[in-house]
Amino acid sequence: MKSKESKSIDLSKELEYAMKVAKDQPSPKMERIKPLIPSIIASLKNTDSSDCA
Amino acid sequence: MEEFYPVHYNDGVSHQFWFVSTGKRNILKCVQLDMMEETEEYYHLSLLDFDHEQGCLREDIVSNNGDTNRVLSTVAHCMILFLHRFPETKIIFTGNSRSRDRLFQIQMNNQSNKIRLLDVETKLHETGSIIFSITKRKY
Repeated sequence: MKSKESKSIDLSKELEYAMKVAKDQPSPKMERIKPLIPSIIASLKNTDSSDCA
Repeated sequence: MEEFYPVHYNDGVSHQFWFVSTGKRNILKCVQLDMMEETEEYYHLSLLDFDHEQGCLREDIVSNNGDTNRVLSTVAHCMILFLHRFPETKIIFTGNSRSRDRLFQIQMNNQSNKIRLLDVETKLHETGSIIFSITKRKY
C-alpha cells in the first residue's frame, strides 16, 4: 500500500505529465462551438438581446 | 466562498489553469481560455478533464466527484487570476446542456455575490443556450 507522501508525489508527476502533454491541445468544447462564435459575439454585442439573469 | 483548489498556470497557445479535484477520486482538471476573435476582447472558457489513458483533454466526462462547489469556486478563482492579468477582456462560456446552464447560472451568481470581484452577465443565444459573460468588476 502506498503512503500518503508517495501518492502525493505520483499525483504531482501526473499533473506535470498532463500539463506537458495537453499544453497546446485545442479545447474540444471550443472546437465544438467554433461555428457558433460569430453569432455568440453578435449576441453579446447586441444590448437589446434577451438578458436572462 | 468555498475553498478553492491550488492552481498551476500553463502558458501556451491557450491559457491553461490546472488543478486536481480530490473528491471521491483524483481527477486532473484544466480551465482553458481560448481567444475567440482577433481583437482579444473575448476569451472562451472550457472546463476539461484530462483523460490519462488517451492523453487528451475531454469535455464529455461527467465526473460526479462530489466536490462541485469547490470545483466551481476554483473556476471562479481562475477567472479572477485571468482578469487580473487581462482586465479589459471578457470571459465567455456556455453549459453543455440546459441543466448545466442552470447550475452555472446559480453557482456563478453565488460566486460573484460572495467574492464581489466579478460581474456576471447572461444572454440568451439563438440556440436556446445561455451565454455567460464574465468581466472584472469596476469600482
